[in-house]
Amino acid sequence: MFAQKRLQKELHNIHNYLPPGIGIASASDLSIWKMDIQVLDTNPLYADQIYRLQFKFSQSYPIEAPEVTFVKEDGIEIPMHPHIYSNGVICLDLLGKNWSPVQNVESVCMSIQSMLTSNTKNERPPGDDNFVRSGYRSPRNINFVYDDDTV
Amino acid sequence: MAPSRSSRNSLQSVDLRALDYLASPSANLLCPICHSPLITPVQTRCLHTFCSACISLSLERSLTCPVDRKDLSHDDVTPAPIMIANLVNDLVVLCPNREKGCEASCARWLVESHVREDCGYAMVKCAKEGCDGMVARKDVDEDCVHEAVECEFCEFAVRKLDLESHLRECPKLSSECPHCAEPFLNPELSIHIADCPAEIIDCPASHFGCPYTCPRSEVDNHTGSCHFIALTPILQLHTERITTLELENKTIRQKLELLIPPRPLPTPSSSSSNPQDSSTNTGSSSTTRDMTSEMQDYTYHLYSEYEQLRSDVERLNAQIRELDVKQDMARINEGLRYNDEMTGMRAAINGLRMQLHWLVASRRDAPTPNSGGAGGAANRVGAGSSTNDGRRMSDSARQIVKL
Repeated sequence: MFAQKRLQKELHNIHNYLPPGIGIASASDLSIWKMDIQVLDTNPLYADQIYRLQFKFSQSYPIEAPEVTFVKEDGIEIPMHPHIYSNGVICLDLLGKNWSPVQNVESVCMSIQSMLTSNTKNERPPGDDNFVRSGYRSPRNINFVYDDDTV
Repeated sequence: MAPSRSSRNSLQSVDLRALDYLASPSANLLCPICHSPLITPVQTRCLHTFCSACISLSLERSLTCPVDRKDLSHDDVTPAPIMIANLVNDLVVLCPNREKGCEASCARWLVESHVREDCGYAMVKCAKEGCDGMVARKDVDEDCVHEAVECEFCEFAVRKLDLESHLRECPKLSSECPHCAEPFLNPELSIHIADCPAEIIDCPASHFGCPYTCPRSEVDNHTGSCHFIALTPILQLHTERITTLELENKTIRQKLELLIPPRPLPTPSSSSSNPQDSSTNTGSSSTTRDMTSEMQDYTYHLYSEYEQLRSDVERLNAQIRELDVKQDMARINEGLRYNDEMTGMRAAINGLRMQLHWLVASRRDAPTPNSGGAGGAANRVGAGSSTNDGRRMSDSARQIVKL
């Protein structure tokens, strides 16, 4: 109830206004939303590309962080980034131990957008192959080590 | 009228967070966690304001302020200034029974008493003696709706409240079929709908791609000429073969994945399954899945044995190398010792040769009395050797060497 009420309000706000480069792809129910994000400057890694984020909300949202991953769909790829695994899992402290219930879908999208904007490395995280093969889909089961503050 | 109403209080509770507000409230009055106007506002030590329930939930997960992430404990949370509480309590809300028809709106702090005592659409206990049902307050003075009445068509006893929904499915009444518009008695309707000749249905081969649709009664005309239906046996065969191939492909892929990447070794006990069991292949997919999992187990078993043997060989190699080194060291040490001993012996032999030389020389010189102390000593030795046994002689010879 708590989560649904808050998500309804967020959805209402999102339909009214969204920052540039962020769009809503689908939000047909109150448990999974898909958002499109775009890097607006001329970063050659991401120029003219649209990426799709999937938000999975639990009943305890916003006390608990949503599960946010990039998803691969027709013509939509997973962006290259040293903190984004090729299966779409994002290593970002804001989505794990540093989550705060004050954050919302819009602020998370903006954080990830700026994470892409400031990146210059065309690479995957170390151990990407093993990580993807191990088959973790749910970021909640992973204890990331947030060791790199440069990006 | 009013006193009789207020005596029957509604038990319906009001969820303040679910209320709708007449005007959208100022963003400053919203709780940053639930995004609703604050409910029982509290303030943290860092001067941020939240609903009391929201910040408690948040502190259970993390002892920081959600806004600025400063450390925060339950003791750092105090009630917010009364003015803030008054501001949010004065916001005008719509009655929670609005969907049922109540058009009332009031200040939020009054909404509970409105629902409890005034709202005509709140559910209250039925006025009739001995009746446990609930009824909207505005209908409380009407006849009790929980009494059973007889349906005028089927003579079944139905509660007045349920009469309306009963009439929709009363077995003595008929409804129209949605396809052919013929009236049917309710119990027979669903049977009829299942094979109504007027229902528009897809061609039986639609799953192979035939786009044709027609009423059920005319479908026989179509099946005679439909190319898709003519091809159905072949298409069916192909579909089955594709399914089999996909399954096989999956199995092979799994095996390949097992063989190629380095994987953690399973415990040997987990690999006790017998590959022979899988030979009883009934062709069903479940057996095939069993087979692949057993295959996996078997491969794991082989793999673990191979790894074990490899590590054994490595261990033995290391041991042999160690022994080699040890032996080398021992040999070198021994050689050094022999060398030392040999040098010592050579020195001793040299010494002996010198003595012998000297003795021979002194004996040769003994008859000619020559010069000084050395000559005297030699005399004495010469005398000793002539008079005493060999041992005494060697004793005196050693004395001389010492000199």
